[in-house]
Amino acid sequence: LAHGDGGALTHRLVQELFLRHFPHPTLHGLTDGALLPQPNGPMVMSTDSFVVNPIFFPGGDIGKLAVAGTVNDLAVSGARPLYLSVGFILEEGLPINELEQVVHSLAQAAEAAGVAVVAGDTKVVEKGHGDGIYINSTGIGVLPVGRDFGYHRIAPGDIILINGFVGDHGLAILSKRAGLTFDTPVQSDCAPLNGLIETLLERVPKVPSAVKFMRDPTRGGVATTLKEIALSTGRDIYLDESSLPLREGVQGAAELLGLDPLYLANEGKVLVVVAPEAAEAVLAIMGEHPLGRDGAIIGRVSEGTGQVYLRTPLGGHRILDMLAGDPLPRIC
Amino acid sequence: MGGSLLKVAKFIRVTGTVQGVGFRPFVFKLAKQAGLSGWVLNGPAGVEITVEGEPEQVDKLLQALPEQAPQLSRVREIILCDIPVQGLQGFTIVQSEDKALRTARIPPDAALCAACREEMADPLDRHYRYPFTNCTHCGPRFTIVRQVPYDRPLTSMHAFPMCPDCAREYEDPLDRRFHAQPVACPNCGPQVWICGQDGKRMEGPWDEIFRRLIRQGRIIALKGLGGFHLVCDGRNAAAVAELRRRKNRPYKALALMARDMDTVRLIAWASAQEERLLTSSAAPIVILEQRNGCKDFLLDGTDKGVIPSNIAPGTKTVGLMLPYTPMHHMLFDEQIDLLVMTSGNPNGLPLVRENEAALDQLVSIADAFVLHDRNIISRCDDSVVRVIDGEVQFYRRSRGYVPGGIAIPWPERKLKHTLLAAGPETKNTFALLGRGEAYFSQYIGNVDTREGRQNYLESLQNLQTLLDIRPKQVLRDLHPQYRISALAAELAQEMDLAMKDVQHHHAHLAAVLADNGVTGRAIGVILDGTGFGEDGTIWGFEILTGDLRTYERWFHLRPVLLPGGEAAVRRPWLTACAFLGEALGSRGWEQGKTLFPEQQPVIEQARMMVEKKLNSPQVSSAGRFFDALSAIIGVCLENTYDGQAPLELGEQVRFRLGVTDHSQQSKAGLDENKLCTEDWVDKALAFGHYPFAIQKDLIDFASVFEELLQDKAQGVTIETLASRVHNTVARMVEVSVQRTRDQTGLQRVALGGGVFQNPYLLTMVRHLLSRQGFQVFIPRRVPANDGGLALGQGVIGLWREE
Ligand SMILES: [Fe+3]
Ligand SMILES: [Mg+2]
Ligand SMILES: [Zn+2]
Ligand SMILES: [Zn+2]
Repeated sequence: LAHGDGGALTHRLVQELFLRHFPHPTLHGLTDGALLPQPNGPMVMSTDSFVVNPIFFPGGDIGKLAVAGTVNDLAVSGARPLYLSVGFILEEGLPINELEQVVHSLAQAAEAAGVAVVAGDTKVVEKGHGDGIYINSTGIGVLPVGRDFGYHRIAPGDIILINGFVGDHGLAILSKRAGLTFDTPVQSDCAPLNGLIETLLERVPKVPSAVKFMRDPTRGGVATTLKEIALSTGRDIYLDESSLPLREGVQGAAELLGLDPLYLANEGKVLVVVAPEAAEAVLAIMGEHPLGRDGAIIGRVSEGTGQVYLRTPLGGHRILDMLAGDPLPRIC
Repeated sequence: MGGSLLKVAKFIRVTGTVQGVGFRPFVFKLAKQAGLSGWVLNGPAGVEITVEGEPEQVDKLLQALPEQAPQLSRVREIILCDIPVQGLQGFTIVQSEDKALRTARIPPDAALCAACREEMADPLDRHYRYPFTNCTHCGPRFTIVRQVPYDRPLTSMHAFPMCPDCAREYEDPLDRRFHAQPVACPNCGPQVWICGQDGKRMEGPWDEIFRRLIRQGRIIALKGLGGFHLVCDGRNAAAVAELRRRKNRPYKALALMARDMDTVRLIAWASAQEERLLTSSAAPIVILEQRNGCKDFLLDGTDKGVIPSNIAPGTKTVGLMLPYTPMHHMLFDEQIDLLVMTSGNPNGLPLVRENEAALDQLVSIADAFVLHDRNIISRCDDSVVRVIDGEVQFYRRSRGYVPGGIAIPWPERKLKHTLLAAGPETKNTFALLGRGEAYFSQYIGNVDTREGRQNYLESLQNLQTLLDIRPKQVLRDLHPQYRISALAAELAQEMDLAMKDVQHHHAHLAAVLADNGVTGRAIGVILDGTGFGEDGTIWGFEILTGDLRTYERWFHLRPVLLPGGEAAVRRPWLTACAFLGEALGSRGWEQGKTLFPEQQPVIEQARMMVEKKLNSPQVSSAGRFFDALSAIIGVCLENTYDGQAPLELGEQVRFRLGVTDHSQQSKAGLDENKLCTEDWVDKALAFGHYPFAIQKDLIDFASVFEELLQDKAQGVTIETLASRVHNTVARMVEVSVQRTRDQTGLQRVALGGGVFQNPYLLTMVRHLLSRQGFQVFIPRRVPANDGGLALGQGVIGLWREE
């Protein structure tokens, strides 16, 4: 990939590569703006930039991630994701086949999630000014009438669920980055969750929904996300270590790397806070979906002061905090 | 003979630990003997005395006050002033006015005194075999007090109204139990019972059932003075193994309680100094040298001179204490002379102190529970001390010492200042500073759990109340990920306190200086595990200069990238590979794979982590250096408790410098002051050391590993290897300290950090530096390890100009 000519090459790239993968008519008009039909309800918009290194990792790549990340941000706020824009920043010298692979996977993920890529942009920067590919994606969704999720609905006694194994993505990325291989290979859980979430919201008792709050535990992992919830609500959260879904491979690898799976990023996980009486029902519905098969009840909300505690098998309650920077040894 | 014309009158105020220790009856008796009139009372700042009488008699009293003061008291100051003679008649003890006896001190808990012990043994005495017997010279104090003034209603004895007999003794100024707040007898005091795992009381005398179960090899949770102990027969290797299994504590040494001094002498060497410690009213665990070693097989009990090898694996020492409560004395009989007494808590959690909590939390460990109904207000773990090179060194300062104050250098302009030193992250102990002293908390332990945090907050609240010190400032460690730092920030916000950070090793240095009353600059040799450095990396092998205000870093060990960070701390073999890799490059990593063949794949992955700098923090630490050496020499590959690898390596040296190892060192017997002669230092040095380089501010270990591996390949004994690496560290210190003196002219050196708990190293470094003309300071009243850190944080908070 070359850089600096602005016109001709980029045009060819767009024509030959991107348009081939993105079928939406609005895009093929190649005008400066996408004309979209008026939605039925309030719109929700979310944006995120993806700078993951490596671009390709077990279980996904930066393209799939750019879809999952933004779609999930929309979905956890209760919206149905509809449209996506994608902006590529490419580093000079990037092999074209790698780009093609990323674009292909992005398109596939979008199709699977039922969202249309309706706008895009491409820039090429000088060699050494980027890590191959950066992607920004912006999503637009619509919030169906009557959906109300947020911190204000969380109350003591509420139950916290997760839809599957913790820490897969973070571990896959880190081990790929260091060139580590393990006996049981660890794959990223990267996946758009709007299908699963939509199923949940449609099938659990509504008015008001037994589902009170959702959040995707991405950067900082489950611990950091729950600490945010605890601080924002002023409630305490109790997690039960023995009920956390954790792959053996992830556990072993995390131990070797000295990392706590609770602080590792997830890209296909959602934390769901539900009313206690509906917890089992929600878990059952979750379990029927392919992305929720390994779901579990992992904790509960209680009165408190914004602390997150992990109940260990020994009966103690380890305090979980947000992690600032890389972990440093503390034992003297 | 003109009567009042010749009389004088004085007002005397005695400050210090003078309440609840029989001070007023003591004054009463003195005054009576001297024919003086007047009164004595507990005032807001101590004991206040008004006396009238002949000048010689008054002088006699004044002289006797500090000299003959009751054994548990600690007279800090005697303030005198002349007052007019009023012609008073008789001498009386005036009842406490309950308004705020604020600055008077609560004494530490004290071991059963000889007089009470005799009464317990006397079938005709009403305290016969009563497990809560006490008097003004002994018994619980700190652990049962809720509030000041120290009066029965404000202790956990308020639930036990005194019977007429006890009340009489309590009221009688001439009785040993005059105003002893915990005074009790079988008729009116707390009771003991024993129950099974279901909480149901067993029929029969608790002590007989206890001993029967012990003989059967059972494990019993025993409610003691400052919390629960887990107890089993110290002669029964199988019982000990079972306790270890259930408590998930595979290797860390277990403390023993011996029936009496004779039993101690059977299994360990104890100098007169060590015996004084064992029998002191603080009654700490004293680390002693095993006399005849230990045995692996199940003991039949005939050889009373050896202990099971699983009491203190990997060491030649044994931690021993003597019974310190009346209840403890009832645990032993003709056969049972040695009990394992380890703290009753699930791993990493605070000591259990309540009956229900014990039944809940210890049920998976204990077969039976000895309970009683006197509440424990403040937890207090046993203290641990060791005599090294003739000096008492604290490993843990808690029961028997807390809440005693430690006088420290105090700046004039801050006379009224008070502060909280938050203490370290693990094995936490905090301190309140005020009125010229540092008051250390009991051992707190970890604060990274809800239970630990709660224990910290509650203990802080208690100590503040008992001492009436409200901190105006809080000092904490610099480490950004310490739980204790976050907790300190919360406290600062809640109590509206100014908060300041203190670098970990500066705090260690300042602690040793303040402990020795030094305010001037000194060279600091701080060898420990982990401390956050100002450059964002981990430090721990530090040659500093500094005082109570500032410091500079002069030399440190060459840093290493530690794959997995804290995870490697548990795996010395991995740390070893990281050091080898740093020292020798890829050849080093290959050496690692040869040394630990079963770990090859993991070592390869660790190498890649280091190359990619993936979760591999930069660490320069003496603790990690010793971890690596211990693993390479083949002594200890895994740390199942903090410091296991360095500790076990330290046990392998040929000459056990600084300790009471009479079997090898002193045919003369227990002559305590000749334990470490210069001669022994030279003999130990003769084993040699490995070469190292000092470049700029780095102490480079590359050649150490090069030659250590050669030695190992040539089959040099572990004993020699261990001696050589210890000598190497001592030489590294010696050379870098000399260079620091060359550039600064400083003659004083302070030794601190947990690595100096190693007797060989402390003794060796102390003697090497003394020979070079340095004035060497070591910790005295607080531990060298992080247990003393709060002292440094505190004095820096006092002295540093902000
Ligand atoms: Fe330290
Ligand atoms: Mg996002
Ligand atoms: Zn007594
Ligand atoms: Zn009584």
